[in-house]
Amino acid sequence: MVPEPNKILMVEDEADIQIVAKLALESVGNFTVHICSSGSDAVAELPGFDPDIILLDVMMPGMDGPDTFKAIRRLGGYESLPIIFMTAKVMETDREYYHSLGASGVIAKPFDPMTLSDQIREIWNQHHGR
Amino acid sequence: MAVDKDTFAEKLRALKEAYDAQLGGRIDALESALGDIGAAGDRTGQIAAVRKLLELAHKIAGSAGTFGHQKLSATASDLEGLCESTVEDGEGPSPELNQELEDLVAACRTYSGA
Repeated sequence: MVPEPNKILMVEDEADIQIVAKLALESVGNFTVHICSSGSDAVAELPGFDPDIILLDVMMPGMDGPDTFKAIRRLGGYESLPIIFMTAKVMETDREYYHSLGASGVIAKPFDPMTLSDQIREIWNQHHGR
Repeated sequence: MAVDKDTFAEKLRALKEAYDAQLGGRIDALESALGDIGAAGDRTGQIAAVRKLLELAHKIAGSAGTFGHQKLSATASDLEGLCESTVEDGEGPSPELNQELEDLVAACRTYSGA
């Protein structure tokens, strides 16, 4: 039986989005959320937090979302960890690219704080073939 | 721990008010970026300033809609797209970019109450 997701690592450089997403995920979704402001922080802090899901911004200074994705996969032990891209670029070609990397899903920005948790659980269920 | 809908809505409203209050700072940053484009001595400097503008527009495009400001988000997204094509083309900023920037500043003023 597949467990329900509990811990989410959010990688996002924009403070306003960090705050509202954390509030929404904890208050509405009852998740435990850890925020990293950069891809390099995420790679460094991933083993310590050991999340069930990663929410990954695409456009960030320094290591961007796709580069962070690849770095996480290279770490070893996180080959099947669900990673969801969050981005304003959600054209079909963009989505195809994220999925070709191995992303479990894509959530469009701006997001609705009320339904963000539901979107994540839906992707989690798809990832586990439910 | 999950909170009830009213408490969540109240917290969200407070965050929205804080977001709106700092839109004035974003206007300053946008206008500063526009000044940098005008002051740049060469095409390389202009493109660097447009990149900075792109980052500012991207942040607003991604955050404003989350606080219910869909029009502001769309206006920022338009400017972001124009900045991206300007950077990719390497041709330097067009008059259209100035217009898009003015539209975004006006939209920020509307929501900030400035």
